[in-house]
Amino acid sequence: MIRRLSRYLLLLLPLLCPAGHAEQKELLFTIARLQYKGGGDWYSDPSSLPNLLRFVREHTRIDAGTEEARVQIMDEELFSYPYIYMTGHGNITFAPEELTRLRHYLESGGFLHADDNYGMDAAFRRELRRLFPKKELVELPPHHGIFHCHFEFANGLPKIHQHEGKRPQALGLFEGERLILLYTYEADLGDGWEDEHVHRNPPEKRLNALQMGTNILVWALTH
Amino acid sequence: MQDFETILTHLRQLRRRLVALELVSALLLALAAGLILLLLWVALEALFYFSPVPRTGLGLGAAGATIGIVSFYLRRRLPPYLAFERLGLHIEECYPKLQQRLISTLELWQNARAHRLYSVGLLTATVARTAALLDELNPRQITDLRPLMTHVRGLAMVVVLILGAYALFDSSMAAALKRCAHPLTHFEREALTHIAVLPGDFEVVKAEDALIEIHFSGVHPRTAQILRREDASAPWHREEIIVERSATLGHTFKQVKRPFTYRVVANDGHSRIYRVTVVDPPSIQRLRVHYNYPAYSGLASRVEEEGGDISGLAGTVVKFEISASKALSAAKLVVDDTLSYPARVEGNKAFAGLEIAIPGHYHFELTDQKGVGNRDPIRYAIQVVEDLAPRVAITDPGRDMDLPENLQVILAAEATDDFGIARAVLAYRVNEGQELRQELQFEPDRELHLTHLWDLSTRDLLPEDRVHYRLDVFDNDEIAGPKVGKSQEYVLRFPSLYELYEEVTAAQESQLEALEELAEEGEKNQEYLEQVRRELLKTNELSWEQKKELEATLAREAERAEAVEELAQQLEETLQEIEENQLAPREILDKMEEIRKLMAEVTSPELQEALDALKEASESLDPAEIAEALKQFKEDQEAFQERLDRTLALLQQVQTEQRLEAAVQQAAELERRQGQIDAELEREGISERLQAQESSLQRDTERLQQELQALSQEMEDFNQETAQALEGQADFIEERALTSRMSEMLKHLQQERRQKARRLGESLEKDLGTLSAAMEHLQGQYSAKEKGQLAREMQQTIRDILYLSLQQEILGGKAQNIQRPAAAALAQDQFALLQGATLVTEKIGRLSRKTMSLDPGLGMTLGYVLRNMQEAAYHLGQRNASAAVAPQRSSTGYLNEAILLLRQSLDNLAKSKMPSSFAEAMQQMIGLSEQQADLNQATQEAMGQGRQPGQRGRQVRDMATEMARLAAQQRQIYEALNQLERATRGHRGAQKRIQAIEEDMESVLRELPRRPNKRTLNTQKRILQRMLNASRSIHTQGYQEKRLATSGSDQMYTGQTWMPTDLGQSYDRLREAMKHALEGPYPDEYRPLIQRYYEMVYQDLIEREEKAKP
Repeated sequence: MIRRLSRYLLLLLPLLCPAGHAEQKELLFTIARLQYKGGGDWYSDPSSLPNLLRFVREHTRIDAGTEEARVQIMDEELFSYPYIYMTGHGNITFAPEELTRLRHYLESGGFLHADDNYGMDAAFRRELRRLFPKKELVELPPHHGIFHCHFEFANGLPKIHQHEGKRPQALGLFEGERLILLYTYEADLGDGWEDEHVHRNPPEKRLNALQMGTNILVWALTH
Repeated sequence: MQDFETILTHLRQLRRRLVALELVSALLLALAAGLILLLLWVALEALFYFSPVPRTGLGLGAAGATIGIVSFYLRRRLPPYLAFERLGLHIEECYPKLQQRLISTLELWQNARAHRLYSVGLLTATVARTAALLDELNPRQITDLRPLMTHVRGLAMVVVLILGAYALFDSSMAAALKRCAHPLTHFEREALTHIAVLPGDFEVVKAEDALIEIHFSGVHPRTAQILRREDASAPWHREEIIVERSATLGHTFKQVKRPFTYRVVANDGHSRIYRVTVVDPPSIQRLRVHYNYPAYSGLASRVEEEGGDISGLAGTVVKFEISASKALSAAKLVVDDTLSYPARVEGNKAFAGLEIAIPGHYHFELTDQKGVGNRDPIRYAIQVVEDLAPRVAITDPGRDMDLPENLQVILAAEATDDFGIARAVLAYRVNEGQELRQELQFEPDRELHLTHLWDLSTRDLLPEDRVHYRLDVFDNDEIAGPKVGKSQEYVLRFPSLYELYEEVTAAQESQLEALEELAEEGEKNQEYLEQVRRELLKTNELSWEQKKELEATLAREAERAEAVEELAQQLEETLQEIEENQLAPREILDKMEEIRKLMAEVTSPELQEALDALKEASESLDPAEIAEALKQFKEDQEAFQERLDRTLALLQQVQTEQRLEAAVQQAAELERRQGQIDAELEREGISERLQAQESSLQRDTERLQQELQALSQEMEDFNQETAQALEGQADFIEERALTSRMSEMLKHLQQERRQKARRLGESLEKDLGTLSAAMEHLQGQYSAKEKGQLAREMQQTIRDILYLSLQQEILGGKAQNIQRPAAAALAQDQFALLQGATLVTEKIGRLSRKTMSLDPGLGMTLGYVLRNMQEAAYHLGQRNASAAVAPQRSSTGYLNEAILLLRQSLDNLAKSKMPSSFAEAMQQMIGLSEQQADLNQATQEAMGQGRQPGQRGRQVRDMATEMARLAAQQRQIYEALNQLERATRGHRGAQKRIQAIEEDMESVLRELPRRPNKRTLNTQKRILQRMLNASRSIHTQGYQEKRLATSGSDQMYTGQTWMPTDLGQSYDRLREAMKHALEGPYPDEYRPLIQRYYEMVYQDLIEREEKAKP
């Protein structure tokens, strides 16, 4: 009960905390990009989150802003964001105090979407084992609600970018029955959210990626 | 003396009588007094309800008074009887006859003085007489019974009084009497209101309501209070209830969870304290569920330790093991609230089972040994997991497409089923014909990755035929029967060559037009920018309008560069289509590939950088900076324009060659089609399909005639000979009336004149053969002439450069030895050589627009020649001959290098006539793929038979023989592949693939004769897949790298369809302990400390585990 309450409070927090702009500016929901250490390009796919936020604003009732936020785990405002996103191609390292805080964040109602941009898989899984040694990633099958909560994905996670041609996988980490972390592997949703000219993805692929991103967001904010 | 004794005896007797009488009387008095006092005492007690002390005091007082009264009475009444003298007086008084004799006797007889004073005789006589009188005396005469009677009456009255009081105040007097009987005991004063509670002490099932009934008597209260408490030391919890006039009242204790005591109080009355005991109903503490799935599912039995909702396939047998909270007497499993199944009970355990058939729910009814049943049993869901139909998708080609020339299609399909795929059938129909089904072989599994080489060449397809196909996949459901999953239906179309060319030509023309437009626009932009640059140099300022115009031009330039890139991409797609349909020979394809590369290089990074720099400069508004940027941009843009122009020229030439090639192929195709119609007519007779084919053939022949005429006109300007030859072939179609004869044949077919149609068909086939041969000859001539011309031009250019090189060498020699004033004369010679080199460079430029055989480094080499010659001319002009020597030597060197490069280019040109051995090799690969597919199937069948039960020994021998035979086949394929590998040397990608296949084959060759297994089959599958991929690589060479960066294709989900019940979480004791602690009753300020503590321990543990890992 307390946990659930805290989660709802977390959802409201962005509305209460300053957005970093003048008071008259609307207080809008945004996604925080996780600025992690270890050398990986946490900043990759720069146009992805603004595009996703715009799409979410246009296709859902979520009053989303257009600019992403950036946050480090030890930043005070970490708990101000109910939804954080991380991506990259390289190494990731969490310091012990960062692990503790991230664990607390996730157990207190926060949500992390990690999107493998091809190359971060090994590092991310290694850090995940340090974060929750007693939890295992579980593949979300196509009938899971995350694939149907807003847009319909009958076959589960869409494949956006070819990479090694492996099957795309949506892997979840749970706290009780709540999904606290989603790791999208071999799909590269972030590439699909980027501006059209960046990867020259076909329009239907971009649409798929944005719709799936919306589903993840809606699921995280309502469950 | 005797008499005296007699008197005394009498007196004693009388005294005893009187005393006894008095004692009786006193006793009666005591009784009466005692009773009355007792009555009084009891009455007072009833009235005042004394505590033990006053009550005892009163009791003692009453007793004392009684004793006192009796004592007083006895003291007053007894003394006269105790002394003989007083007794005598009493007797005298009561019996006058004695006349003082008795008293005289008593006083005198024993008085010695009296003896002396009175006569003894008289005394004796008196004594005697007294004795005689006493003998006569009736004792009653001296007995006064009145007091006795009075006392009796008094006693009677007291008794009556007591009875009356008792009658009147029955309960209170009785209670008072009781209390008086126990004077020292403390008695609660009896209330006026009496309360009785039923059932008083009792048991209630936990969480159920407890009902009591309260009866009021005595003074009826208006309200009552129910006092309740769970702990003897706790204060009573009061609840007031309204009684009103009801003598009986019910009260409910809601949802009793703990035992408690209670009492009812009303007015002065109260009930005694009762106790309600809580009994726990039996409940399920743990439910273990054993699942036994149907055999066909292949699922292993499993146990859910903490079961509840059950889900499984229809036919799954579920066994429950219930651990109850207490010993049970009975239990049953109730399904859908209707069907009951008794459970076997052992102590506090019960066992039941059911088979999942339909969705519903179930619960357990438990009864403990006291007969208490479980309350609100949990209803668990019964979910029937649907055995879904397989999902299947054709992944390759996965779209409607035209059939390739060899009519072989590589089908790749992926299918998945939740419990296993048993069959796969390729269902297809030609046009609207009957559906045909072809069983595909594979090893049953849950996932299917099928690759099948579908050979449609045996189906006698004709152009414009459509093959509709799909894949039907059946699962292994033995309970409800196999379910089928169907893939999307796709269409394979057998196109006519004309259609293919038409599509490709249209695309190419559109690309050419676009390129021409871009080139034109580029020239305009180039002129404008040059103009701006010059103006800037003159005026040194830029107006606002000019600035805007400049920005717009730059934007157009950027768009132009993008458009060229897009065109390059489109060209690549067109090229792919040409390759797939084999619409052009290898030579043209190579040219197309060169053009594609050229286009990819048209927009160089340098141009983009120059454009960016110019944009930045235009924003800075610094005229000098803009002029400089324009200068830089001009150079890059000129190069861009040059590349574009060259591309355009090449593309135009290639298109013409391609059209010629198309015409040649179309002529051959017409001959083939006519032959096919004739053969089918001979074999099967007239049909509507043949009529349609002949009609289509006529249409395509007309089109070919038109195309030949158009192509003739187009080539008129640059190759009259070929143009005339083409015109001649168009005339041949006209002269031989091919189209009208085809029309006539169509009529024969429509009128079912088979013989006539056949004869006409044969003559048409012959004429079409003539046409086809002529076209091939024509094309050969054209090609030879074009190449001969190019070769001559290149040889001429070589000679020109040789001459320039020689002259440059001579001039260099002169410059070394010449005096300073004469150097100016040499400058003129050097300028003349420079002009010659410029002419040669232009000639090479023109050549480069006709052929791709020129070495790419040639342009750059000639550039160095020109630069060095310019430098030498400059130094000679300055009369500095010694400074001119070095650039002159360099010029000579670069000219010689240019000759070598041109010779290399000439070789390239000659080599381009060679047929492509690579394409042939890949054709062979397709043939080998078919053999491998057959071999795979044979291996699979052989292994399937090997697993059949029975006749084991014989089968082992047969299988060994069969496997040896298959291994021999595999070796043949392997050796053929070895030869192919040698043929493809120089094609790195293809060779690498073939080598990978060879490695797999070596593995299969090792395993087949010994112990083939599933891995062997999988390797064989991989071999086939790789062979098919390699054969396709002819179409994809050069594009592989780019394709890897393309968007991902949709893939079917092949993972688990359910999630683990623990959702991937194993029990984390430390984490749980932290949560438990955080939920504990600690002040808020402690919580962060608690959390920090646990987190530190947790982190420490993680790090230790990490270190412990090897």
